[in-house]
Amino acid sequence: MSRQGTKLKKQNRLKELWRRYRKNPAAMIGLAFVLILIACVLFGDVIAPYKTATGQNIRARLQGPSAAHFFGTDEFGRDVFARVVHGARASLALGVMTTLVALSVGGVLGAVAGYFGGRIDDIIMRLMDVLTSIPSLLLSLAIVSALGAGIRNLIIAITISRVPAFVRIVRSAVLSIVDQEFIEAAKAGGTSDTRIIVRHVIPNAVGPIIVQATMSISMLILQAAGLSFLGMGVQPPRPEWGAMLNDAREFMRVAPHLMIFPGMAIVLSALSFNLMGDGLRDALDPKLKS
Amino acid sequence: MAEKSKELLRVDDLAIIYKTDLETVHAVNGITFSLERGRTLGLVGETGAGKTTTALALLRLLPERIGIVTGGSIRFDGEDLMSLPPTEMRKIRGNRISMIFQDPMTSLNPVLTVGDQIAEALVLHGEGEKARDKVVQAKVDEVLSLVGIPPTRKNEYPHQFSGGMKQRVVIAIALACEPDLLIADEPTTALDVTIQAQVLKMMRDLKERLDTSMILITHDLGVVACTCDDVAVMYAGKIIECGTREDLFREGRHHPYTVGLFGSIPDIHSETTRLSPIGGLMPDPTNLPPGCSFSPRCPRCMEICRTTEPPETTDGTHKILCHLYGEGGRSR
Amino acid sequence: MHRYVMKRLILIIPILLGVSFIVFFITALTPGDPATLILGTGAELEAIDALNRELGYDKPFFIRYARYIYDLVVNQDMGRSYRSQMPVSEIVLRRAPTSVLIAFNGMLCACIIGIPLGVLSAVKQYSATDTMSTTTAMFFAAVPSFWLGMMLMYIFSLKLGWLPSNGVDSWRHYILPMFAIGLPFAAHQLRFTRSTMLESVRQDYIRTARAKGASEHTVIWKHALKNALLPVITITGINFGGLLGGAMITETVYSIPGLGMLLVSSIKMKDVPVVMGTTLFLAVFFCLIMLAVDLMYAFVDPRIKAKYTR
Repeated sequence: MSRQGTKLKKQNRLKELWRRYRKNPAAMIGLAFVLILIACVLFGDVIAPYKTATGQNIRARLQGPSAAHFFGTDEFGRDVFARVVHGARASLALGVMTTLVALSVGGVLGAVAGYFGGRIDDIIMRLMDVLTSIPSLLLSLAIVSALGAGIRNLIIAITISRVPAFVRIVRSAVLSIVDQEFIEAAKAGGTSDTRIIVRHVIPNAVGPIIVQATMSISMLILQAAGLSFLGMGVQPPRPEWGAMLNDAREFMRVAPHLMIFPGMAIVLSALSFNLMGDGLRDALDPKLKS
Repeated sequence: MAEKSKELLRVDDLAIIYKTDLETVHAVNGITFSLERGRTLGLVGETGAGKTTTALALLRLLPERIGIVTGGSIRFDGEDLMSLPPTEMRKIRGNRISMIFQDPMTSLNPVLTVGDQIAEALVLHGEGEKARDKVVQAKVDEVLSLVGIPPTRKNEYPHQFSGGMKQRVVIAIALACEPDLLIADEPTTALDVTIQAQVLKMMRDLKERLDTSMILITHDLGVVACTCDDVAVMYAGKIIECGTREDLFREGRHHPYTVGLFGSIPDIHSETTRLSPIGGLMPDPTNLPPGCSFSPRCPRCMEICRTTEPPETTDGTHKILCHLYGEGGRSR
Repeated sequence: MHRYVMKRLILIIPILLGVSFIVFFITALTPGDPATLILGTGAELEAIDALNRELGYDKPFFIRYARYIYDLVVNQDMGRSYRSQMPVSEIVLRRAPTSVLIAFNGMLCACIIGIPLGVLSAVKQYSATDTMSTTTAMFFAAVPSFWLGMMLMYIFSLKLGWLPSNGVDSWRHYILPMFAIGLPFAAHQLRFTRSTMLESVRQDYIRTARAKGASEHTVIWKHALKNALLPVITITGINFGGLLGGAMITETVYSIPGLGMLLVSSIKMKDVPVVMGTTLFLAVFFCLIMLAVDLMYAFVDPRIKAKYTR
């Protein structure tokens, strides 16, 4: 009975959230573009066959945009539109996967640090201080170089560089909740620490964390693109936006479309996740709206 | 004519709303009161009754775009405050009308010294060219010692002062230009009880010495009893009862809300086993009930209360807004 | 104050030890041994083993790390590049000024554009200026600096021919990188300044200032801004880390011979000593910037200042 009740309450809260989110046109544009990105990942082959993204055709190289090739062709005669569509897979995977992994690892560490405090908190936070004193791109660069280039290693590298940020966010969210009286009450009632964290602390910290995670996706898409641009990420011939931009440098003068379209794709993805994050923040806490 | 110059402030039928995208809050709904020179008016009521809103309106400091005066007039020393241009209004703020805010902890700017913050008010109102001028600094010293802070502490920052001392600084800022009217918005609520008494006594003495009129906003009837000459009780944006202190504290005819308010104070002399709080909550100001807004909580509510707004009953200086005494008074 | 600075400088040491350990550990994971890299895969096995022994590569990881730190601290020696056999400190210090200059230019650009516009759009909230600048900022916050660098190069060097596209021969070469690195961070600065400014304007002491009769101008520029600047200073320091990363990549775009290009090429060549040296230098640089930020904070905020001077 009570479980059903809480379920219902949760549904109403989500409905209310969606009602407020819907009112924000910028956030809706962001959501729409994110859905397009997801469609590119799921139905990439329907939109543009993967073969045209990787198949070389020397006779049709470096063509400008046309009806046959919306975004033109690259130096191997590959269709840039198809490459941009299929590049979404790498970018979205990188942005979302790394955020999720970093969030889980950082979330556990942050919750432990914030909830228990004292020595554990000290040790975890000093470790994070060390990690954050290397600019995150530098850190992931070093890690990728050690592990070798490739999409899996890129995910590991970016995740490690992002963990400290999530530890901080979750820790401060937990700290602000742990002080409140209902936690005292739960403790006094003999509830175990794990249960308090899972049942009380996390649900109450979830709002700001979701917002941060959404924003983080956009940041990590940019970072992944940067590393791929340096040749540390996705390896050819697999299409990836950052790597495409690196290839485009040589042909900047004759084929500027090679750099314009993948670049716009990066910007739009990062932008739409930011818009979504802003919209979620406003919808979660209308008072903060400025 | 002689009587008119005694009157410092006259508020007529003032109405204020807060308008946001989501809702419209009817904060003040047509209040009328006046204040004579040298007297203290106590504005009493629960949180959300519209006391602070009224005070902010007097200084025209309602939040921009959101707080809107929808009707009525405010005359200060014969001048219509509502129609003054902003630059003229600024000359009145802090100079002729000052305000002390509720929370001394947040009312001072943390990055400026207290001396600078007092000097700013003086410089703004032509007491000197710059904060560093000898005249200004001498005046700062004077004001600080007036509120009982050693002038040597003027170069310290707010975080170096305790709550009570901060409130003294806030009062010093308000009194620096010797205003004609001082509005004090719950000046002691955020302070410890012992400090409360000190600050109140100091304010009373200063008022005497500078011959200032004062509006004291509070929900503490004890404070009213020992500080105010006149009292106005506010409920849901209306003054439901007003008069002299004697009118209010004397046995006799009162608004049921006032009775409830007084009944909420524990009395050590009577042998009651439990307090008698007023049941229920203040009505939702976005959706006020028809008729008397106190009717849903009123123990003596009648049929007419739910449909018709109550008339004003006047007995000398004592005015009550209630159907109970409607027969004897004249309805508006 | 001096004591505080000393304390903070000493606190950098464990952080640097941590950083060096992490980087050393990461580079130790890199497959391949130094002698093969120096002598080439064609070299004789004995020669390779001998050189590896000479470089101490046959020792366990912790011994090698301890020796690296010992050399660094006692002999101020960061080893030699596997590639060029030049001392690492020399290579890094020769390239550092260019990178530092580029990063500072970018930061300057970000602050000069971002902070005043942020204040302006907060003060004129909901106005056309506000909408314009927040929308533009929203866009630029999503632009990677290396792509912005390419676009700027395409427009201003290749199409218009106003500015040079490569190298660092004159001050004009620094203009495009400055904007490429600075504009995305100007967007971050703008958004953050705006929101802290709006927060600051809502505070009680702003109402006190208004109640004193202060003009809007005084209220904004004297009372609100000074308080809003505190968080802005902090975020500027934190942003500097991200900006440094962006600058490293952007160096590749403009072929700027700085630490970024050095790091990328050394990583590709597995030139471990140079990677170590460059990373350590950047970490020291970043730590010093954060220290400077903290000191600036204390300078503006009397509450913190009091804590430090005590």
